[in-house]
Amino acid sequence: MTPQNIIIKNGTVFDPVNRIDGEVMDIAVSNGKIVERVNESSAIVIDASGKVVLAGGVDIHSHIAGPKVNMGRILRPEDHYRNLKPKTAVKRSGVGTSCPSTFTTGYDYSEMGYTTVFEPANPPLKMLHVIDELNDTPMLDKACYPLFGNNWHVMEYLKDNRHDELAAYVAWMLKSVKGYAVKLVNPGGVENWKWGGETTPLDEPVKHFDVTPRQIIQGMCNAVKRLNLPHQMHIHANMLGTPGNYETALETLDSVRQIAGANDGKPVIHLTHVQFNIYGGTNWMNLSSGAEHLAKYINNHNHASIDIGQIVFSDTTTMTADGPFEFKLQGMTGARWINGDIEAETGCGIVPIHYKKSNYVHAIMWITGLEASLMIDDPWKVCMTTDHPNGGYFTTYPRVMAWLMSKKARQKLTNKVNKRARSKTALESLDREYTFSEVLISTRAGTARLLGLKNKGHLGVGADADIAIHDLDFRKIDPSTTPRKFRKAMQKAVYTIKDGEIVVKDGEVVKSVPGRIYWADAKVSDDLARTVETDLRQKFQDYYTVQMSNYIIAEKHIVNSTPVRVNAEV
Amino acid sequence: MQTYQDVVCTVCGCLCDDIEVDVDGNKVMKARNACAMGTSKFLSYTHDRIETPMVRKNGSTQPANLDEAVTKVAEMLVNAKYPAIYGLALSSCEAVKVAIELTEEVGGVMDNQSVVCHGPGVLGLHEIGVSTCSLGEIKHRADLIICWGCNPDEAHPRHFERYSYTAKGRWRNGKADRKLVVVDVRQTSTARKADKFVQIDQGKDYELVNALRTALRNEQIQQEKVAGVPVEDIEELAELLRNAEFGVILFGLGVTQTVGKGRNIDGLFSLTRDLNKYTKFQIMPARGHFNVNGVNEVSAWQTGFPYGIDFSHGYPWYNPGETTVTDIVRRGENDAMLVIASDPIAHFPKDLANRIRKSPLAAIDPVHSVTTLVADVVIPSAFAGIECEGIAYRMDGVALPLKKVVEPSQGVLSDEDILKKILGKVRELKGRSG
Amino acid sequence: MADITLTAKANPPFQPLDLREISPDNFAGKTPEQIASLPIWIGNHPSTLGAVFDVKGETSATPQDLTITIEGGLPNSRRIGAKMTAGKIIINGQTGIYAGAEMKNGQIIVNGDAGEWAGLAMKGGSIEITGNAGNFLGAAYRGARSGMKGGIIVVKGNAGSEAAAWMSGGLIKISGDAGLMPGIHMTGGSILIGGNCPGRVGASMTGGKIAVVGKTDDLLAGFQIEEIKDKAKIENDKIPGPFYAFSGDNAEAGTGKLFIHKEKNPHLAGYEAFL
Ligand SMILES: [Zn+2]
Repeated sequence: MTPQNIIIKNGTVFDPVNRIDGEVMDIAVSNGKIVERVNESSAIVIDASGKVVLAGGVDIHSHIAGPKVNMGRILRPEDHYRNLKPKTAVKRSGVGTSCPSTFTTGYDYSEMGYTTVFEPANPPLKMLHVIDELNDTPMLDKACYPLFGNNWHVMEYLKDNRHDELAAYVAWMLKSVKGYAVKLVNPGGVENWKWGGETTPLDEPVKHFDVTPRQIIQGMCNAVKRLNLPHQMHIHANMLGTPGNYETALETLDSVRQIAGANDGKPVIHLTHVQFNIYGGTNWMNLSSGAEHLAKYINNHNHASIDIGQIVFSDTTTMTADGPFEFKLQGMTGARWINGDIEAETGCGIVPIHYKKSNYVHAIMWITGLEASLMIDDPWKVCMTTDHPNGGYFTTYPRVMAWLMSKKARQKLTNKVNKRARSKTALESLDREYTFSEVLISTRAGTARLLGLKNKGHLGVGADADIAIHDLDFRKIDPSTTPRKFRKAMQKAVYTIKDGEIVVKDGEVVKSVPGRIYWADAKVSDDLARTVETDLRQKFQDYYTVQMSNYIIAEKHIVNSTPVRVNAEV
Repeated sequence: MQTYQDVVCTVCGCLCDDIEVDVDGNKVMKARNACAMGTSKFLSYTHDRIETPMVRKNGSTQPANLDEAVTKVAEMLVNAKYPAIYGLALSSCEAVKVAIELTEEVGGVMDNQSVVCHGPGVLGLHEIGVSTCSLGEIKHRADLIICWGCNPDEAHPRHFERYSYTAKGRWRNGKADRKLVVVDVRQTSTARKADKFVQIDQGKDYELVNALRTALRNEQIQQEKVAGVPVEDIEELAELLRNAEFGVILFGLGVTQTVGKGRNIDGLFSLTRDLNKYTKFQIMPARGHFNVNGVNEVSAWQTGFPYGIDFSHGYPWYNPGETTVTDIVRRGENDAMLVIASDPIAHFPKDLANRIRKSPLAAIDPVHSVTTLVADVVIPSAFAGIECEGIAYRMDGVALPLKKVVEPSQGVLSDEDILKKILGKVRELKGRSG
Repeated sequence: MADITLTAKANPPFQPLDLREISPDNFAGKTPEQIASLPIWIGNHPSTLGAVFDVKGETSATPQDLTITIEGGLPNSRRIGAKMTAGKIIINGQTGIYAGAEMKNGQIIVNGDAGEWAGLAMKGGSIEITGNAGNFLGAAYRGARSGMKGGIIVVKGNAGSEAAAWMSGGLIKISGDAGLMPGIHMTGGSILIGGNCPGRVGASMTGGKIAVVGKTDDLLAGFQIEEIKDKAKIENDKIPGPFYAFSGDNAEAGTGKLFIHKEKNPHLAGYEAFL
């Protein structure tokens, strides 16, 4: 079925990629794409006067599916009881607040005007599970980032200095398990944790493997660059959640500065949920924000991008491949704890948490995220995330957007947070308020660019017709002075259009669509591909408990499988 | 003759995926690498099969065509105010998805065999959490394996060889580098292979776990024996656990279905958590039905809840004890039941079985059972992993693709396709009535 | 004072009856006709109170002045009096599960047996059950580590297993026997068991008090004897003993208190050697 032509008339269009900043104009849609014009008489006409017309939201980092998320769901029935969603004529039923069920996840994102969400941490051995959940997550285009930071093959290739083979192995893996980008989580530290050890600084060799986290980071960064993957290396750094860890974050960024080469403007590293990684202080009592150090570095370098991982005061669930971090967290809070280590590859940990304004550490975390957002000048380098659900649920994004755009909104909450934390913050002295375009850059234009999605994040001719229309009239709503009204307008889209079809109307899903799943198919030289296959065949049986043929995921298991082909330099 | 490589065995939760199956003329001739249970399933899957759909007419069941049987089941579900759909631990995840949609559509309760096997472990998980791993972690690292209330030697014959005690891992060269401890009420065949057998009094698992946790904290135990085990032995065992480099507890129905049920697992999960303060420790259920984990996983991601899911109010609701099939039947609250590849009439306590028979009962099953014998409607189905494809989840949550190695008999469909037909019919009937 | 009487009609449905609308909060200010049209669920079927009950009487403007009397047993009922904040419900007959769940204040009297989860996550008010109570009395929602926080539950008969799981405050008095594991994971509050208990009293408790006046099995290893007391003090009551007083559960590094009747439990005499 070909979607019908649509014309969106008289909307106030914001499209930072095409330098359109609040112009009243029409947007035409045909065949799932944005086009110059369509025949008005046969098109659906949407009157968008007094409303903003935006590219659909693109989320670069949100834990929405897979074994870890599902363990979170099973852990927390009491979280689901807070939000029980009945079936409707269009929607399947569902539940959930911090660990929503898959259908609900798709609907909630779509009703907020988001059209693309990437799942950022997946054990390759369990990718069939991830894919199967994404198949059941409607309304969105999706992709996964398999985990490489503690992978035995990676560490062995690095130890043997076989960098070509490493790159070819990464290509093989992405193609085999249908991954899109390379994710590192606490490189080396998770392998150590499998013996009960801890997260490690960059230069301590991994137990039994004789390579250092620094070598893993540099080696993988290089491999990703040589493969020409659409998204740069995506890393959750070592020492996460530790006082004084901003130094490790900066060291991590600086360790790959050379790899970027001459400043061609393309970042080679994406440091994710920095909020958890840029603390000052030496212990939990004197914890402080190290945002200024990170901001200074990012402002002076072009090889790195970040997302925030903003926390929102709420009862949520932390979940990460960083097993040792979660173990430490449950030790401190006494909360329930799930751990799930995966052979030869990675780990996982889950701990529920209630972020409270009155708590000194939580208040510092809240401040740190906002400081980082406000101190980094270039919004193209900063993605707004809550690291859903680690910092807060994705449904709180409009609240975070309001904090970015309104000093008043920030101040209102700052007045209520832990006094000692407040006395240590620079937040109150930061006058910056994001423009609406800057918010859009950090929630769609910039995220799409960093993900290499040329047809997303903007409304130019040829772009995917993924569009959000919100009831936001800047003549009536000033985000700076009336942040609540702004937040309300961003919470529910008046229309969401996915691939040229109206899927949300008046904040409710009116049509369910499956969305696609992207994965990267990087072509390496045949010789290298053969060498790596031979290596793998030799080791696979020893390392894994499944057969290699069953590890590889057939495309038939994927709904709307969409390979992105790139030519590698190896 | 054709040989299929890397076929997944669909007997127990081990899902061994290295089976080589020879097929000649749509008949399985050989299944190499499989254990006795696996071999028997691959070679005798044709035995005892239900030939044709059956529908009760004037008091006795008679052969019927598929459409007629499907319509009967659909009517039964649509007319019910509280229908239950039960089973699926031997179905593919694809079938589970349709079953969830069907249950949602008819406002019923969907439950699976977890309720009579590892469901109680989930209750422990809700309150404590769990430290666990994939099976390969055990193979590579475990130097201490505790079998608690489970008997892999008989129930999971290849567990030791592929994943644990005798497996050769990166840092463990088979059983020479490992210790096996068995905790059980009787000396099982696994216990006879063990380096240490701790025989405990029937129904006293929680007591022993509690004593171990107390000993681990170096607190005095003011009793001579706990659960029939001398306190000195308990303290020694606690030391053994603490001093392991990487320990793992495998547990089975001998602890999930005995006195205290979920609380026994609450205790074991707490013990595992406590041990991680001293060393590395993991715990994992030794699951029986090959895809009971898959039903739980799919249910959890589609509805938030792993089993016992009540859609009667339009949204998923869950509370084992309230929404679990055994409890619903005990209270006599359901007014229809569809059973998929399970035999509750044979396996549930007699009073529950009698109650199930009081309301309309339909069964989908490849083979005859007591349930299919007494059901009002019976629909034959194909065996997942032999006669049809699909995905199943191993006991450690690794998803594996099931293969189809032979064609099912003429007209016999997969659970997935049968359920889709029922769902279609239900929607048709509801459309007519609405 | 005003009274509303709900009389169960003959041959009530056997499917689950969701009756969460039955509370003085929802009835106050409504006529019997309006009350009869309040929504209920019969299994998956939306219906009204009037389909199951004859509604008679007069209501008051505010819930605190209202007494609701239910005539007839409905073992398949759900959530009668859930979340109520004031007033009184008298149930003459058996009631189903979740009676008084999340109750904040007011009073429920069950003249008969109550099903599982009576007083689930209760915050205040009182529940009196003249018959037996099911499992999970005053316990917590699945996954929630907080059960009863306040108020009082009195059971004249026996109670099922896992009473007061994750209890943090309030009082539960069971005149008869209690099932397995009363007070599991409790952190505060008090439980008085007048009869016997098969065992695992106070498993994983970290705080609070439990007194068992009858017999119980061996205690869990995580409990150590502290003293022998003439009386056990449970809230305002002084229960005549003598009692062995224990502290635990040490498996959970707990500091809860157990009082176990000395004479009824001679098999615990061995503990005296540790005094
Ligand atoms: Zn993350």
